[in-house]
Amino acid sequence: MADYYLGIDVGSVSIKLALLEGDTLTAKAYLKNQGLIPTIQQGLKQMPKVQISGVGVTGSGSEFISSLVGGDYVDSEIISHMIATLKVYPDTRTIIDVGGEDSKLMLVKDGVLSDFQMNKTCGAGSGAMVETIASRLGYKIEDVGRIALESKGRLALPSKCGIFMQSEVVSQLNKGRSVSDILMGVCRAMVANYLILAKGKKLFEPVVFQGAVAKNQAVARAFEEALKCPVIIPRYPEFAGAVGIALLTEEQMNGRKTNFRGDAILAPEYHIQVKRCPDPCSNECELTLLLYQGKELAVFGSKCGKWENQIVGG
Amino acid sequence: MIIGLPRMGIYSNLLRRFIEGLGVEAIMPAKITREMIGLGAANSSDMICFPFKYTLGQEIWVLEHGATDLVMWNSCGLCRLKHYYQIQELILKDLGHQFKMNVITRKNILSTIKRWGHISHFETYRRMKKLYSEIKEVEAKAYRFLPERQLKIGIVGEVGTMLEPDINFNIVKKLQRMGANVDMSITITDYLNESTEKGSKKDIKEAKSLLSQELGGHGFQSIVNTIFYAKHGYDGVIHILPLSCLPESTVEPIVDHVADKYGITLYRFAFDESAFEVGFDTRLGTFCSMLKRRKLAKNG
Repeated sequence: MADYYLGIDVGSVSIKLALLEGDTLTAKAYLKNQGLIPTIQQGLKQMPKVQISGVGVTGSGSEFISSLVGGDYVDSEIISHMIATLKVYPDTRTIIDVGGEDSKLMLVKDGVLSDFQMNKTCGAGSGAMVETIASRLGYKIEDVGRIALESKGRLALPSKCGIFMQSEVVSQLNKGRSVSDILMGVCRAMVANYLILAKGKKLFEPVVFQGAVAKNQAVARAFEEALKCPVIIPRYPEFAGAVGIALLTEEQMNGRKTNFRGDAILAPEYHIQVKRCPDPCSNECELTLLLYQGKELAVFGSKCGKWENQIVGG
Repeated sequence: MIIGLPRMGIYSNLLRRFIEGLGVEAIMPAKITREMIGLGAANSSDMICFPFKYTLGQEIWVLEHGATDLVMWNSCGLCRLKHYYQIQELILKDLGHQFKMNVITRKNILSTIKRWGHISHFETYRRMKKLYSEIKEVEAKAYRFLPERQLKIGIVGEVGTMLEPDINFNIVKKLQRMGANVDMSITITDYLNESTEKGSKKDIKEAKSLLSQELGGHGFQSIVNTIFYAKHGYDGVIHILPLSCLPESTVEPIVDHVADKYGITLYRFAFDESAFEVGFDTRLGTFCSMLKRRKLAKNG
């Protein structure tokens, strides 16, 4: 009997689940994040009923989700992305990951991560930029790639600030610029913003581009123009994090028994509560409590770590 | 006289107890909060370095809580730290606070303590010596190496930000919890002993060939110490800089260069009033995982 491993990637915009049977992706779910617990429950319902040998969680709030589902392994999303990519493209030197609000750049040397960079205070180099402008123009994000690729003229839009970009887009529209030129310009500006992460770094080929934004062909074209080299897009670019953490879990299990709580998670009695740490202390931490039928299951968010039952990053 | 003191990382309590031991009333914030940092940032020029903002924020707090005297260090060096006491005094007086600014330098520190405590020269010296040994103890405890931690990481950068856990999001404790032994390149002991450069004479010569002029601050030390860590089998170096810090941002490309040349993994964290902890934790965790994986791959 084959072993099944489940990977959960908690992103800022969406939650991704991937079920691996050996090395093959047998089931996947992509859900918009509408409250952590209901979204996870919905995602698990979409998974086939099989005996799961291990669950890995990555992304923001991963320890929290891990204690909810009974995760076996938690690691950072950057490591997960790298593992998934190297599995399919072992020669990769540069990994570009553009998500809903995060963007990450990973450099690989000798098959190991050698450097990485994440956006810190600005989201103008992520999918949110393109999505905001597209919805301002009344287009769905799914259609942006197709429309932008019809562009004939080259339009230079100011990069850096998404708000200034929006006003520039409106003024270009007033001038009678075609929507496809504008959208292509927005994609190019987003790529220029993203490449701020690569400042002072040498990017080598082959370059893999993943994250949900990689489904947008226009952004991929803009990357190819900017980097002057072809960009590889995996088959399921948005699932790289989830697949990676599932692979990592498989590697880390070593015959351990899974903590996965199965259908028990689907009960509707789970709640999240936020409260101040009751102890007198200058940190004044905000604690996140996971409750089941009014009983505390896990606590997160204290700076000193006295309430946590797991250690970040292991 | 009530002296308002800014925090000094793990040395904060020692410093306060020392001042109180002189028979002087002292007040110090229990922690540098986000509000204090915001207050400092709101009242200072946008492009000034971050340590200026967080010390100013604390000064406002202590003045609001009854301090009559402030203390500020004057490095007499080349970086903007030597202007702190002058500009901060102007800003605080403009805000309507009444106080006396006590400027401490390497030269007047003993005479100031003598004056505050009304104690003899010999007694001052004795107390300073005791404080020195206490400082050493605190450092030995905070940065001790445990054999079960797999990684060895050196921290270089601007000394105030490096030594202040409230500002650098407790980087040392977090790294230790993730299984890394942390060596702080410059501690207060090193500073007092004027032995802030860890590298050998050869390393110092190399660093001098890359940065020939005095910069002030500890920019030069960041280069030398990065070379030192690379040569002494450390797994990685973390470069900490507060935003717009002149010495550290000047040496940034040089530190990159020496890290590249000696093949040590370098990661840089810049801190300012808009830094947020969740993103910091992710990057720090990834840095540790990356080093562990690299070590594993290297050892077969």
